[in-house]
Amino acid sequence: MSGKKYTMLEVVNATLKEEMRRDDKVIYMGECIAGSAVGWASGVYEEFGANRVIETGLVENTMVAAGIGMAERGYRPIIDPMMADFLTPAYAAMTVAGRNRLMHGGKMQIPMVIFTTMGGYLGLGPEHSGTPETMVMHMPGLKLAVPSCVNDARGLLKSAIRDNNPVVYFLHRRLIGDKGFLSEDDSPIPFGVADIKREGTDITVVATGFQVSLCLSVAEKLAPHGISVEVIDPRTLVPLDIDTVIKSVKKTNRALVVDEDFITCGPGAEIAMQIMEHAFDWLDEPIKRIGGKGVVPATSADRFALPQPQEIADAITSLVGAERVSVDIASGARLFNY
Amino acid sequence: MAEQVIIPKLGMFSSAVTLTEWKVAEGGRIEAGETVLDIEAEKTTFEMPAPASGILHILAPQGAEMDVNTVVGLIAASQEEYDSLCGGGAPASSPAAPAAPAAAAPGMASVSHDEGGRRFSTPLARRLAREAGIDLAGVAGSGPNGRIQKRDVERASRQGTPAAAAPAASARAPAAVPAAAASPVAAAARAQPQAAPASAPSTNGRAIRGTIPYKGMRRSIGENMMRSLAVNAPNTMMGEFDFSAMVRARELLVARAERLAARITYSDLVLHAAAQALRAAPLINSSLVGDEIVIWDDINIGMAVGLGPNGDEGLLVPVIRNADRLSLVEISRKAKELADKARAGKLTGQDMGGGTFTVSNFGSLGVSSFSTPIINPPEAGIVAIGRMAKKPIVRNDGIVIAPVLPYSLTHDHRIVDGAAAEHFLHAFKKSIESPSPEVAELILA
Amino acid sequence: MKLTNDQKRLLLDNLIRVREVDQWFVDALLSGKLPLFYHSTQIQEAVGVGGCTFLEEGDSVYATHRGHGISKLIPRGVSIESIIAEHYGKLTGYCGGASGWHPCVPDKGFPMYTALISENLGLACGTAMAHKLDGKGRVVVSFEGDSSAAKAEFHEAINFAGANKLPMVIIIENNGMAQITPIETFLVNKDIANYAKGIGIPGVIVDGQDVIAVMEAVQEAVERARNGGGPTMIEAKTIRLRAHAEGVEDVSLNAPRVTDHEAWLRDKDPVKTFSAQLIAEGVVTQAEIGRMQQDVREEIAQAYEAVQAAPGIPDYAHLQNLLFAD
Repeated sequence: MSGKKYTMLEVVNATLKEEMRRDDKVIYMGECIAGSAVGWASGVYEEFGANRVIETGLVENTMVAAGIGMAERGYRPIIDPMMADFLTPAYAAMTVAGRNRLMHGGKMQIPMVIFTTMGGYLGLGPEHSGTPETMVMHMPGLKLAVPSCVNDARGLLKSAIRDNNPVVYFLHRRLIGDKGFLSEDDSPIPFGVADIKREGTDITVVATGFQVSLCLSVAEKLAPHGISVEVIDPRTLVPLDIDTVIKSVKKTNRALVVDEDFITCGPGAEIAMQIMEHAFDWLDEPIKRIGGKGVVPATSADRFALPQPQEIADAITSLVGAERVSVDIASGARLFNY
Repeated sequence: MAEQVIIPKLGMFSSAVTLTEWKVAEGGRIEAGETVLDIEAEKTTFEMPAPASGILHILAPQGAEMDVNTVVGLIAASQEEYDSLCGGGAPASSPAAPAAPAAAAPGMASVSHDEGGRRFSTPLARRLAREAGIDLAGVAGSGPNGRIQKRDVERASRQGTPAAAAPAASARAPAAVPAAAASPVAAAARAQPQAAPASAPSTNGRAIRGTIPYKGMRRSIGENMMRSLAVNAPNTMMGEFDFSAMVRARELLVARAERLAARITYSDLVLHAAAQALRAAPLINSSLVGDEIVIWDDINIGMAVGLGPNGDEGLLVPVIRNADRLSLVEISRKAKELADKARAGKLTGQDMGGGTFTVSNFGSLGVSSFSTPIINPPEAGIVAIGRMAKKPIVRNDGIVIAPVLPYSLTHDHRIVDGAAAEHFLHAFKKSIESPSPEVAELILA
Repeated sequence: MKLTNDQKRLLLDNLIRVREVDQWFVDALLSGKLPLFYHSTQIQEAVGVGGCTFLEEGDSVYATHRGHGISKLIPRGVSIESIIAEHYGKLTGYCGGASGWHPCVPDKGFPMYTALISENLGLACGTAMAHKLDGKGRVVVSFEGDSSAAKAEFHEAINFAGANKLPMVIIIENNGMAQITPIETFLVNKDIANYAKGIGIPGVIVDGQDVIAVMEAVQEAVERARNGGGPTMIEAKTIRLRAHAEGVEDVSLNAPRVTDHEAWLRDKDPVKTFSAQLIAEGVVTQAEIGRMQQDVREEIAQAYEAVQAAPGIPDYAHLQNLLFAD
């Protein structure tokens, strides 16, 4: 991929519009969207009007529940509650979305997308930094897409909107300012297909969202020390392409899972367990995991609760049996120097 | 009864090989005669043909280092036989086996478990040991709590830890004198239980710029060099030849390249000259074998070939057999053929074995004139040619500018003393400074 | 709405059918024949029957757990056999046996259902939003119990419906009991319709034992909704005859619930009172009523036989395949 670099905002915005033009059943619904507080949807209200862009107010549960009702009737709502943290009141509706089809004998389909920002490193504090990936993974019937770069964001969003099932799409807010290349091929990226973002032979590192960027930066710093790191981005946690991860672990014999979600029962726990289940005889080291510490303090102190590049580097060097390498990589906005 | 895939002994001195590539996957079919396994033995690669047709069961994994004469695979005649090989399998870790010979390394066994007697090993290590037919009881672990890891199993299979499985006897290849140097080292390793788990080497506060693995050909060369210095008594004599005649001869020969169907190089001329000199001074064309100095009748000259575009990615020394009986053109053709094969990794054991003397030409690569070349055991001498350069020399009491060829001859002082070495050098000098009638004929023809 | 005699007979027939099916479930459970629980809706039938009998095809209904929705399902033509089959986990149930009892029959106008109280109002808002965008004048009738009014989702959804002028009629079946807790203990307003007025949508109270009154109030609200006038809340005051669920002790707080079955069944039973009313009006005879009862009993008996022979869910894989649509 080469050529011009595009910003995440402009790509998501363009993709939203493209999909809404393509299918007039696509409805964009949520809080503070007509004026597009986050910026994804600028120009969308102007182009499509109040019948396709519905301002709901801060009613997260009702907006998701209404989304389900509309989807059953053939619409394709995209619900935007602005932040993943704000989804907590909507968990009831989300669980219903997930189990609706199965518990009603497959008599309907719910093609809806819950589309919102997630993640920390901007110092926004404990209730604006959440990465509730596991919460979604733990609601059967919901798919979960977690893009890590501009190109994947485009392809995964298209798949999410065209999927006939409830899809949660979490876009890490640290990537909003990201600039990236777009591939010529702009077709939807299928769910359940992991992407090897960097090939390597000494260790398999699985990461999601913004952690992919951190792991790639760490891998680059470790390469001159003769440590070859393979970085795998699952792109979707549900469905999860564990086969690509297993194939990699069979090659490298070592695994590290890095995720920002609270480490207890985080996605890392699930992935690590599946690696153990499928590649036990290929493991030459115990699997390590790095995750968030849970409650994320505000301002620069969020670095204490979120995975840091040095932590990732140390985990890798200890697993491959190399000397510690000091990596100087910035992870978040340094608001204050303490 | 399944056919065994056994590592052959290649060349005189190979003792361990690396299994570079199994050509057929586990459980796959192979026909007799087809290549079943690629191996790298010290400096040669070899394609092993399957001894029979059938289904392959792999005992030693790709990448493992195994001793010669080791059974690394089995070819089952039928699916049932294959299934029984895999199911029952070679009873890899039956502790009842220790009727196994000699160095059972009892000291090591005590390290890889806690006081309760539990052994720790990684899943990968267990599988590799199972596939290679190695009893983990005989393997020391370098991981935490004496945990046995992949590197420990690989080391064990390299050192020939006795396996419980039937035919996997890993006797060291009987080699000539230099190999004896290897066994005290190996024995020492077996006798000492490794105390602490091997950890990453200390940097003593120095930052690392990069690391290169010390294995494969690099390691092989290094170990050969050390072995050589450990067994012989090297002495190096250095000097310079007046290369004017050779330069003139070469010009004329190059002009006749098409007619000769060969492009003669300086190197060819030097090799040819060396062969003549060895015939005239045969004492240096010998080896110390046991209590005897054997003077060889064959003159087989090894020529050093640097690999890689800059000649600095490894070194191979293929041999021109009976160089004294070859014409200059034949030597030229043979040298080119061997150099090409060396660079393509296609040298065979035949190409590599039986050398009696070595000529090394580093002149084209570097700026040096002299060096202290290291003998290729069990040879008695090696001459290294340095960079030809124009220099002022004295001729007929006058100073002239002439092309000068520096040389360094190392001889094994056990076999050949200085006088005998000088005797060779006289003959060599003569061949170089006044080319033979044969060369003259070629020029005039 | 002026009713024809046929329409009146239809209302009565629906009341009788619902009552018979309800009694069958009660008997089945108490005789150990039912593999599931049951929450009887006896003497509350008029609310569902009045609310649903005259809805149009294409209108949507969300029921409650009371009677497992039969007072809404049966008037809208859902077969008794599919209702019973669902309770037996059979593939011929209207949810393929997967839910057991959820009143969800999309092709008969019941889009989906969740047992999370008040959550259905949010789902109903979605269905109503879809109807509004479709522009074909369809409405959603969303039934809730009384305890729903205590929940956040209730207020959030009704406000949302009002703000967006959704074509919705919210019918509160207020029987005064939330399982074993009387509503006075946790609701500020005993008249739940007051919440609607507080939010800013019309709130109407009707007698839930009077099927005509219910029907008229609902039809008026439905017309308002069809014409873009937004949502209305109708609170139907009613009585729960039996315990919250069959086989469960009928208590209120920590003491046996004060009930008057004799009086209720004499004066408040809609089947009885409406039968008497129609007989008095000459619309129907006792014999005809007897035949209505006989017909439905036969229908139930045949349904039960068919259900016993029907195949059940074979394994989890069958269900797992239903989790995601292609």
